[in-house]
Amino acid sequence: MKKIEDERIIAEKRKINSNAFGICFIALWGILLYRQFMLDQDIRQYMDIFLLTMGLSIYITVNSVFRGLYLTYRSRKERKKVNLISAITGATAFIIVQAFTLKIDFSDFMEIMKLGISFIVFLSVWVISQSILFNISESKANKDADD
Amino acid sequence: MKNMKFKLSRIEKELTQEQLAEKVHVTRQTISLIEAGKYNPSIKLCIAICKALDKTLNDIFWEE
Repeated sequence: MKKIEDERIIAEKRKINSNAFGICFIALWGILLYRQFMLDQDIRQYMDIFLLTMGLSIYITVNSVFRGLYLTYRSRKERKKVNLISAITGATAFIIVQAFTLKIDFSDFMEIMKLGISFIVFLSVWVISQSILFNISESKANKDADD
Repeated sequence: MKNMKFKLSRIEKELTQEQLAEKVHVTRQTISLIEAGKYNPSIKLCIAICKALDKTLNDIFWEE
């Protein structure tokens, strides 16, 4: 019996699989955060989930970048603005989490300084890495379009 | 919006939805959905349909 090659069915199946993957991916991150922050587990206790989640995240990012799909906004100015806003949001969240998990003493000037430095380092790494990823993706997309 | 031009072309060619579906390698439901205007086929499928019905893309898929 001939297998069905109907594009509509194939597209719908892909959509369902993609949605299922999206749900699993979010659930994995949820489990990871729950184990880390609610159960206070050691990383060795959830290493399998950690590696799976990180592996999937890296797979998605690398594929998006090298297929030229890691593009968000058309204008460079808008992209820079969004990149900076997301970096500030990310760095702020990082600092808040760090302050709670490391139980920072806010009366100690040195600890506040350390937090400030962490904020700047996180922000810089985020902005630089995002810019690099955007540039690689854009040049890949342009190359594909010009070929 | 229903694609009446598609439906009329199929009837003119004396093909059932099932027969046309077999010719273009899709299911009868897909043909029915295209006729009902509930599914947008790819250009590849549009061309296959046009060839099966001896029509051009304009004849079947161009909206007036």
